[in-house]
Amino acid sequence: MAESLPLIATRFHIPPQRDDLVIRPRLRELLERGARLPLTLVSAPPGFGKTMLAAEWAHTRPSGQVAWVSLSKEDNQPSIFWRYVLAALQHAQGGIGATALAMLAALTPPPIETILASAINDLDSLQASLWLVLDDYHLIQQPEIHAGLRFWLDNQPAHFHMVILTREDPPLGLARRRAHRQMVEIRAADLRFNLQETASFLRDAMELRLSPDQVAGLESRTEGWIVGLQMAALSLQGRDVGSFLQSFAGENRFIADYLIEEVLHAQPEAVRRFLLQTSILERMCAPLCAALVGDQQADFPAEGAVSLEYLDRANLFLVALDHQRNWYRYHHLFAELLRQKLSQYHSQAEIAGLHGRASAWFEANGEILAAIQHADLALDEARFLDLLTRYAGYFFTQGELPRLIELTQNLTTSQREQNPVLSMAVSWALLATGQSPEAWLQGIERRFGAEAEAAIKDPELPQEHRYDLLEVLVIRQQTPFDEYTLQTRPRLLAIQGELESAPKGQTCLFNKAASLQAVVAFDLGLDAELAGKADLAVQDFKKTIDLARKDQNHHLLLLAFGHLANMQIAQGRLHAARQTLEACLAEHVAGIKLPYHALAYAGLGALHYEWGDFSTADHYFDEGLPLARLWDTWEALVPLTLGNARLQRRMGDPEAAYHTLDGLNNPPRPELLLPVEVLKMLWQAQEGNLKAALSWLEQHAEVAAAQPTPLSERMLLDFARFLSACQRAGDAAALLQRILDSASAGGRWQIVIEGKIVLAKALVGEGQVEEARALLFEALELAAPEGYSMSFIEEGESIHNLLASVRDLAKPDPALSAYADRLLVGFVQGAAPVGFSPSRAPLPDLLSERELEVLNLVAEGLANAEIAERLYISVSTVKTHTGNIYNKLGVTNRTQALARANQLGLLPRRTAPPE
Amino acid sequence: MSRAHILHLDQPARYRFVLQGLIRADWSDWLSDITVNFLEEETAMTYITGTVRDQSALFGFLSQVRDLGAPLVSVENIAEGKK
Repeated sequence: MAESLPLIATRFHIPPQRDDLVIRPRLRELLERGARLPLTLVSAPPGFGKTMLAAEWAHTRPSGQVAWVSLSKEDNQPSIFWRYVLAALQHAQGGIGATALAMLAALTPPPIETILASAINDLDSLQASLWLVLDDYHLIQQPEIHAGLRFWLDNQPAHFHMVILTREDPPLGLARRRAHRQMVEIRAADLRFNLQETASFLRDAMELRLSPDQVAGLESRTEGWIVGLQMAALSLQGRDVGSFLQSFAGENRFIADYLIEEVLHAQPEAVRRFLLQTSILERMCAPLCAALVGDQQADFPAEGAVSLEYLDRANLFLVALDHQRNWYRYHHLFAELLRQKLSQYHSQAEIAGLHGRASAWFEANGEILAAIQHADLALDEARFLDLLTRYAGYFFTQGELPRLIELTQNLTTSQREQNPVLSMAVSWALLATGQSPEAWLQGIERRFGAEAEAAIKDPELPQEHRYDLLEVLVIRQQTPFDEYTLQTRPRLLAIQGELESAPKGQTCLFNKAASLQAVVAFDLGLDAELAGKADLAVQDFKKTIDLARKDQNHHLLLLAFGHLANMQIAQGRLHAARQTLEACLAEHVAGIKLPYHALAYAGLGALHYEWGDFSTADHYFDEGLPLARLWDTWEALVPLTLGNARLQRRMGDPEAAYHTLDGLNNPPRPELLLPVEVLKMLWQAQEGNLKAALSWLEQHAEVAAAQPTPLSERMLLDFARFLSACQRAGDAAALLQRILDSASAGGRWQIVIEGKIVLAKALVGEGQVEEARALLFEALELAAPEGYSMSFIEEGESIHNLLASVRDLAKPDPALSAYADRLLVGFVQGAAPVGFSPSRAPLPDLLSERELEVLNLVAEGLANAEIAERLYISVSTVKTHTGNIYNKLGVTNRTQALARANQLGLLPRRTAPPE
Repeated sequence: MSRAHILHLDQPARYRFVLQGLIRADWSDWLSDITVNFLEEETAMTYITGTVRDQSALFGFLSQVRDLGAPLVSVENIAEGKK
């Protein structure tokens, strides 16, 4: 990411110092004063020497203390603007803004204020002062960029200073900053040359010998306008000073227009042509100039390098862009004046021809963006579209999607239809930036004369169109997940089937079939996850991880890791989840920690807490919380906060625990805080503050009647604990029963285990000790392989006693009884005994996930053919699975298999409802 | 209107702007000594009179008017001190 920025490095260079500068102590003093304040505004029309002044000052600073951005009109978009600013800061001070840059490049970037806050956070840690110079800020017109910069100015640390060079006053709350003396302004009246400076400029920089009267005449005619003076001086060289001054004084035309003609007139024909033709370039180097100007000049050195040196020596408004003096640009105003003259003297076709040559040169030298921009200006539509199509991948690898969208937004319908590959690239770019690609997709369908559906429905469709249209189907599938329906999975499988049958290396329209396979595998996983089918989702996400790794799709890889771990935790497979989360943490893009990692920290913290390894849990919460706050990732922030608070309370610091819960504020949606409130109220009730608890319960009575969903089960479990603590055992038991039904139907064993323990506790309270014993023993059997501990221990005395009373039931199984013994020790210690579980290898899985899935369907009474249909596999595959199941269980038929599976706790058992 | 005075890029100048619509905004970043009058007839108009400190401030003001989406009816340089 950061290292692959295609940003033009010359734009971060402080323009090199000229050695013929006029020394201007009064301005230097103003700048020094401003440099200690938050903002220095240098605001004046073009030609007053703003850039020169700031550059001269910047060179007096130690290297690395000034970050410089020369803005261009293409930067007038928040994501592009901030990338340049952040990259410039990084260029000056490595490490600053790295996370913010990663946030900008994220598929769904956090709000801009979050991104800027992250960079400002980095600035806080800097020891030395840092200045940021934004040159040509008047090119920035987007209100969102101004708003972002206002936010920045209001929050930047005291040792950071902004210097803005602009032709017009920006809307940055200047009146307020002026009134509070938080800025210094340097304006045209300060910048204009006074008589003394005019004299020294003409004498030293332009090497002219003029009388004091002549100097005064020039000063008054140009009003100290520096570019005007320079152009006048250039026109004077080799001419009679007196007659020039006379005609200049009497001239009524606009001064700049008059002077540019005089300057050009004073140059040899070849130089004149060179100036006009190269004025179309925003930056130039010798070979580029040579390509543009060609060999037309006989009386002028043919080599471009010599020409640029000549212009530089002749003071012809050349600004060096790097220290090697390879790249230059003209002074902006001079270039604008030259371009006006160019369009006066040359036809549109001639000018287009110049842009065409520039485009070819930039392409040959690997500068794709510039090549495309000049092709556009060359009005060469075919070449413009061809370049965009051939280099569309460049915009993706370089994170330049907004630019791709901007370049293509004005394409006509027929241009879209004629360029399906480009249309598909733009569609992905739109999708990635949260916009709808539908109009472009329909263009692709019209082009092929077929609906995308044909790719999976029409056997007659020509094969090459099939792959092209498949990509349209894949992208349409990336709709918001709440639009997933029952038809989603069969469709996804049909698409995946076609993609898998593609020849190796087959490209669809824009992406390779193999890349799309990874995307569809992930969609399948999401579909299964949303349907509550954890086992199926685990398979899909594992496949996604394989495919994404082969395809080097890091973001998809990280995303799949996170979802896989969630599913494994749901399944109660804690050790497998731990491995997945650790693999996720080991996966980095350019060393930047992303929101996925915050989720992984949350998961690992919770796992180690469950195992009673508090110091490791603490470490993970500590790592995860700042990261989640940085990215404003609420999916991670809530579980991290809950986990951390639980841990603090368990470690004997309830005050800190409440404080942690109270620290979670301003959620994007209020319901995100419900789990936090429930936990707080649970503790209140447990601590005997029943009045507060019951009054809160009255306001939230509807939660007790809620139908559990995979997403709400965990919160509802705490709510059931809360009901229990409020002595509403009956309500608690009913809610728990619903949770158990929903969780066991979806194979979410962690919830099942906890639910059984909590229900057992409630039943003890109701005096139904026998039922409670049975439930707790079931939980014990289910929990043993993965070493759950805190889920038991946290329920306290009554579960402790109950466990002691079922201890004997575990006797026939040595592993189970050893586990029960360790748990009993844990109750006494208030935590799991040291070395309890994480270091111990998990018990090997008896049945694979797929086999468990088949077994579940067998238990539902389905025939092999029905199972095949349900799982989208063949009947013979079902038979293979059942054969394996029988072998592993040591049985020979279905009935025996079910009985044995029940004995081993492999199947969700329906718990007897409380009387 | 008489052209009694000459304008300079770097000098303050007083202007009257007429914008279409009733626009209430904070103009103090660009103008000083401001008076704002509203005319609510068939077409509502906002009359703003104020002093820009130089031409850069003037163009900052005009950009702000553009960003607000207010159609600009007229810009007139007027003598110093006039309201």
